[in-house]
Amino acid sequence: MENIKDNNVLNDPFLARMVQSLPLESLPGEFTIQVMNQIYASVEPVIEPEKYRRQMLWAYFLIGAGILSIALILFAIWPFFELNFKLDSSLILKFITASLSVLDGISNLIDYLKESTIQLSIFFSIFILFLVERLLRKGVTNNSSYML
Amino acid sequence: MMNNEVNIIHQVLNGNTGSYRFLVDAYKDLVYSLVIKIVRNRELAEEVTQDSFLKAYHSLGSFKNESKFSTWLFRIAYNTAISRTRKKTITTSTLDDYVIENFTIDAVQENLDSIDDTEKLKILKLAMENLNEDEHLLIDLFYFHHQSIDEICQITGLTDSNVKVKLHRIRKKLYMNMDEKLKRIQVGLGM
Repeated sequence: MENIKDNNVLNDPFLARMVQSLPLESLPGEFTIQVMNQIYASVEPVIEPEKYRRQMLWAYFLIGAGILSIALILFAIWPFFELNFKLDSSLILKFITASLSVLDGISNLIDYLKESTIQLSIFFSIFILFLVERLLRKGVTNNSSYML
Repeated sequence: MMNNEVNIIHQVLNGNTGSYRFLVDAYKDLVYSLVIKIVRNRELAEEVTQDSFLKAYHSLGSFKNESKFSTWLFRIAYNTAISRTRKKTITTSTLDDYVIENFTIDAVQENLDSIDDTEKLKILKLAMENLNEDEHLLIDLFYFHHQSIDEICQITGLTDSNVKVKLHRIRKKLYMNMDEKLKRIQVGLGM
């Protein structure tokens, strides 16, 4: 028996020449355009370049600044908190009142969440699904990520 | 791997999506000819080829230069085609070991050499039709797509020795088929 562990047995220039002379199955000319159209319509497979990361850092900073501004505006016009920068004794009282109100609000929210298990379940399910999706995507793309 | 291909992949990963067109153009017919051996249906083969290129595009970030781009792409195409046909493994038809081992190809090669190229190709085509899709695929990968044994293992998931044994048997079977066709032609011509 020929030693098939030796690749030379399989090397057959005669057969290779013949097989290579067979006509290649070909696709219609518009195939490339069709593939590219589908690619353009889908998400980019780009590894986040440095430039993109820098742009996103600025974007996050601006979004953060915007949220902070809105929070300050809301804080200033909040009816139970009449902001007064004069340093009088009543300011401390107002701060305490405001802080207590915020804490009270958080406490109410927690109570509400405790009572509403359906909302809690939905919230945690979405959160877990989001985490799983991110982990899976990271695993599949192996260090690459998709652009927004 | 060709430098040009590496450059194109870098360009695509750096956001120049349009460059991917060059890879599609370069490999579309090769991938299609491979896929059609598995699915044996032109429309489905075109669909699978398209899916393979889309999958390859989305996974391009995970492509490491450890293998040839063609091997990596063929593996994606092979898996996509296999999953579409719901097949699980490569199967080859069984032939008697004794018949295979005692068959010598030298005489067939000599006989084939004595006829003209058109006839030769006709006989090869007919002989290939007698191979099943998996046998056809392995012959194609090794002798047409220039994939090494190691690369065929990466594409199909078969072991090194398995690929060698299968290729050895398929090659002999192909020559046996060609010999049979050749004899029929010779009898028909009264040679």
